[in-house]
Amino acid sequence: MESVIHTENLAKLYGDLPAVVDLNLDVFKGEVYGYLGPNGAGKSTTIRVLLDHIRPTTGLASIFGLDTRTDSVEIKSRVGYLPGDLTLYENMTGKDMLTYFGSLRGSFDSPYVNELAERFDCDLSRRLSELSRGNRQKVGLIQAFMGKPELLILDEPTTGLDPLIQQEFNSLIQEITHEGRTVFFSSHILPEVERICDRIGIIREGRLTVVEDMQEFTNQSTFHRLEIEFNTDFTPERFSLIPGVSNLKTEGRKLTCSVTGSPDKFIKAIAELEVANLISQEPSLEERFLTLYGEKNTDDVE
Amino acid sequence: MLSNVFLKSLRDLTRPLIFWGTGVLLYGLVIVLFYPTISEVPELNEIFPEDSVLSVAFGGGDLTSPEGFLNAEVFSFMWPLLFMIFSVWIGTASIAGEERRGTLEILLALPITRSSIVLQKSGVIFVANILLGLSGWIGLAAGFTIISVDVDIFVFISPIVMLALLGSLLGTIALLIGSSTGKTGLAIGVTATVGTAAYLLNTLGQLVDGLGWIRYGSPLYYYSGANPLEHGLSLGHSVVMACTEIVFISISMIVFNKRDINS
Repeated sequence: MESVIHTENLAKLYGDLPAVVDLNLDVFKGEVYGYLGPNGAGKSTTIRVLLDHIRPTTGLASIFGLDTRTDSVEIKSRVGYLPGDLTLYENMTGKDMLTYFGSLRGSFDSPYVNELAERFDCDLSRRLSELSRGNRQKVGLIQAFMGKPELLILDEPTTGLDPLIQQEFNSLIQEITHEGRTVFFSSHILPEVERICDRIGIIREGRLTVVEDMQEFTNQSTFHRLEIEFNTDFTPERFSLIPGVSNLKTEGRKLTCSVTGSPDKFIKAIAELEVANLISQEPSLEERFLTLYGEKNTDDVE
Repeated sequence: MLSNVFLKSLRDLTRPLIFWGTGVLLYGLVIVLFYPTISEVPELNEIFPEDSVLSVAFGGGDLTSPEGFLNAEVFSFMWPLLFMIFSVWIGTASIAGEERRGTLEILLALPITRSSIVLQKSGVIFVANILLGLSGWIGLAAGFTIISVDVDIFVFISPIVMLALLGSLLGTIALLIGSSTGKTGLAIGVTATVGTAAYLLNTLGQLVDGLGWIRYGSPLYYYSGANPLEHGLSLGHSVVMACTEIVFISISMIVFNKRDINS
């Protein structure tokens, strides 16, 4: 598969403090890659290295096979970027700012900009200083999308967007990937990633800990939270040895536990007793994330 | 006005330029309107002889002649101060200001080189100084027309060009510090210190015997040392200032190209 973004042993240190360490990242053409991790994990640092805003301490980074340092201008002509901490030219109207950016890009597709503004329900005639955070985010998204770039790098793109606009954003991402274009976006909002990503990379404390196909991640991290009420007394030990069973708790004749992976052996074990009631809860992606990678540094994960 | 960084930055300065330009114009105009009163008091030259501290600090010369009067009241202190303050502000705001506000993050994601941004922003500093100079010239020309004193209004062009070069020089120092560090406070602080030191070096160099050489370290010497109002444009001095600016802009490009942008 053709790599659009490729990094080799990329590291960025601030003094002795590592922001990103030994990053080997590949984002393939036509996919939506979710770059996931808590705040401060190194997501924005990676993106800013890719855009040549900051320089790596060691390692290499390339986009479209071009070096992010020496070929930065050519790369940027083919990339749309939305910063995580978005600041726009507040003294301009949305339209003026987009016209300005269009000029610097060398093309301004006014009908497409209007179409995007309509889809995002964004008033481009108002000064950016008068807009709410969400509306500014919409202008930021339009400026990233408007050049129909081959690669979109979006840092926390849905911050401040209401659910309807998020939906529109998701559709747009789908359309873009149908056209063979690539999307690399960072997020700490797990359900958002689950909805639109083909693959995810999870970065923690500057290290890419997991790269997974979204479907595989979902399967691998699937677990059931079960609550079973028996009609007879039982000893919880008979369940604790079953592989995949954890968080075992009993309360009278009620048993609660989590079962990771196939629940087959567990079901066969409970079938030996008379079951009065059984409740199974589907865990959220966040719970799966916590189960797989522990609870350390996950306070920021929504 | 939105086709490149230069024009967009100039457009952002429209209002400040109108206000600042009006201030420079009015200052020149009002001062000239006082000239008839001053020119009738030749005793002033006895009170402030040409080599006195006060006279040197304010440009020296015959206070009752139009040239001496303008040197003392306009070109020696007030206008250079106004030009320098405005230029330092523009130089600081151009790159460090954008970086501090956060707009540089999105500007640098567009297909444009950092060097080009430095060059275009430098151009803005220079053009803003020319426009400020133009409004000053209009003020002086209007003033002398009103008081009906027969003065060749085109002789003001030389000191005004030197003034624009002086302002641009301070502006490029602010640009250099700002683009090299991303720190607006540092850029303003260093450049204000340079401006103050320039004034002190130039004045002390004239007053203290044997210290004349220290004037060569002052941008103000190159601006006014050859008395451009009376002797016309000094090619040597303007070349020194222009070359210094080119050097500062080049260093800005090199350092800005190499460094990380603050988020």
